Amino acid sequence: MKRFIFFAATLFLGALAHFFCQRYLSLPSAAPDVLLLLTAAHGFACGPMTGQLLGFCWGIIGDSTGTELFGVSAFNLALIGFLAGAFRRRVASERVTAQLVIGLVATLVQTAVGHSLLSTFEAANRSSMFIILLQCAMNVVFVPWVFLAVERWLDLWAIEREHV
Amino acid sequence: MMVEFFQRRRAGVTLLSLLGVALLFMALHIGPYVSGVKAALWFFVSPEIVYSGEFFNKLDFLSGRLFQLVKVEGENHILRAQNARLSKREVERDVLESENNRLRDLLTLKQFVFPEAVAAEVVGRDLRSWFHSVVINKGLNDNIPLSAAVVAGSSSRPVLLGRVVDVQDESSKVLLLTDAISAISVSVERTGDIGLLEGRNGPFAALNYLPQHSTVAPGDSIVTVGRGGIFPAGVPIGDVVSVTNSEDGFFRQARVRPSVNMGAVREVLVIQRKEPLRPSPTPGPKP
Repeated sequence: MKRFIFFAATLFLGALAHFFCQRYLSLPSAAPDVLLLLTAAHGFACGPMTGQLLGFCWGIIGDSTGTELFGVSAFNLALIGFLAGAFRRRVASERVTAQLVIGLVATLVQTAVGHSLLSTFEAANRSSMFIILLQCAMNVVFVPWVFLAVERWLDLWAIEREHV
Repeated sequence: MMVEFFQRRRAGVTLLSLLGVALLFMALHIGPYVSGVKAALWFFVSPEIVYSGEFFNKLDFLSGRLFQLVKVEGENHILRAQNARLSKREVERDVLESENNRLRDLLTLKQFVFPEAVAAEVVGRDLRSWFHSVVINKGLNDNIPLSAAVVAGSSSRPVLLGRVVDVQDESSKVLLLTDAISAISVSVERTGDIGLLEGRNGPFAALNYLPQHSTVAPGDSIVTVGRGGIFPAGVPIGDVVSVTNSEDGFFRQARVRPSVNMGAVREVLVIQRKEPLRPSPTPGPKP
């Protein structure tokens, strides 16, 4: 039960944080992808199952609010959550430098997979290289703070980490 | 064996399931089922978006008001400082304007009435009362003679203030005509009656020893007689306020209000006599 409440609260607050950052911390052509970073952080902290489930749900929420191809974000975030969980014992994700690399790699993976899916199902390529780079930079800037917030959030719920 | 495989690869299987669902959504994104799923999801997600949007809008409004308050506070601080500066400047302007008017009056007097007079500034007052004496910043170094008449300017006309009773190198003491030891021979301008103006250590002076038949009346101007060589003739002093008979009944006496406010005088003219005052020669035995 506690796990379920934690899951629901995390989904709700994560989405809220995403809306907040998109509204107040965004540049004209890019915003920090808080859902991506949260998915990665949870994957590293709680393992692949939690990471991919949270990622899929956040992705579905994102897809339902947007006009992009339905399912792309869910696919992406589920994959990122799984990969983060899979690499949790090989990467010292508590180090800031590692977090920066995680943020950069997660953004690139999401962009690559997303573009592949979009070009497959819609034959459309919507982002320019500049926007991709800007997105990478913003995510890299925000990733340590997101990891820190997730650590505090898990402490609050006394969730046991799987990467330690 | 199958169950064991799924248990060991639970995460991978779940991932494949999730990715499969997502791919299905993408493949069938224009189909009615996916649209229905999307609509149902939107039904659950939209309240969060709407309420969070309203909350953020209120947050924006409050933060906007807060910034506005901070801005107004800053502007208020600047305006207060500006107001203080302007008030100070206005006071300084009034003081300078007043001083300028007084100096113009004095300059007019010096140019047209007393060309040889020395302008001086009041730098000190008698600590006991404003009606006794004042100290001016001119003395022997400026050829200020003892007993010289001192006049003040009032609307470009001279008004007698008193006379010099003590002279130092850089300063002089002026006995005001309102001091009790001051006694000046004066005349009523309208009637020509001569009397003795004596100070009373107050804002008024007493005009004594007027002839019993004098028709002096309140409002008459009092001027100097000009005898004795101290005061020039015809210098205004003040106006009669009231007239009474003396106690012994032989004379008329009047209360005189000086034309100048003794406490407000800042600049004066010291009238230099061409010939120094000398004691009158004692008559010798006739040859």
